[in-house]
Amino acid sequence: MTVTEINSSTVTTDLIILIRDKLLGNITDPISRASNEKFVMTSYPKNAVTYPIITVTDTGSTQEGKLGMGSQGTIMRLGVEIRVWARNVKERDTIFDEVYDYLRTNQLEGDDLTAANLHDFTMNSVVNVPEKDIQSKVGEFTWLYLCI
Amino acid sequence: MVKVTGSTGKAINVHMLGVGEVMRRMRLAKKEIESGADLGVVKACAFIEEEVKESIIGNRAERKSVDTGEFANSIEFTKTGKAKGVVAPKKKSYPNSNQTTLDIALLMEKGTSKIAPRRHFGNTEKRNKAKVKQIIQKEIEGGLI
Repeated sequence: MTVTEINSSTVTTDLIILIRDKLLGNITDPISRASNEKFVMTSYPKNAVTYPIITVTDTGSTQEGKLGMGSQGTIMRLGVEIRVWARNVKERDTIFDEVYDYLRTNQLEGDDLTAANLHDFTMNSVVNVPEKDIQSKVGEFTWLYLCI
Repeated sequence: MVKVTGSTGKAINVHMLGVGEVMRRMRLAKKEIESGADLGVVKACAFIEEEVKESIIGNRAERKSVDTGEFANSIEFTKTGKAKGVVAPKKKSYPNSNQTTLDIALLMEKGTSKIAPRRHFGNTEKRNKAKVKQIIQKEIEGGLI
């Protein structure tokens, strides 16, 4: 399924698939993979995977307001977690920087994400989660979406 | 008293009455708003502290994170300034382990390659954003009436 823009009736699924596809198309995978292995996923992996990977998950949304008294339109703040799982700190930071750079440079009219109805890009937090063999960086982002 | 020239060219004296009283009342209202906000934040933080604990012990939508009970008990509210507060785990070490409650909080909140995230803090914030505003607003309004 290819999503080119976010639709009001399918906000959450559209958002996650759109961000996944954009990252797949714009972030360089540092390794070559078998065709059944994915670099960007929409959930945390349950089976064994080849690192590095990126996961795109929904962190929940809030309604910021309505578009007027006589309107059913709403202003939504959509939350997305983009997490880079890598084999070492350098790889983790390099991929995350590339992700952030892609998102940051897609905020203006005519850019990929704005054309898909995502506005007011905000990075709320970035946290490192070190494990014995895997280094991950968790970024929480939000976009404004007019649900009309 | 202000002197203004009238349409006939004569000077008119304009007296502004009650300026001092208005200023005094506005200063009083500012104090009331500030102390209301301060009290509101304290009450809101106490409420959030309880909500995070409820989430950790399994009384909210998230999966519980209880082993020794140390993590849930470590959650506390600290007043960090005027109308400012932080709800966070107090750093405590686990016996026979080099982990602290802060390490556990991070791993439970964000998850790891083996544990799914439980978002005790993040989900509590999302669930109670409106309630927190309401608590603070009530205290500010209470001080003004």
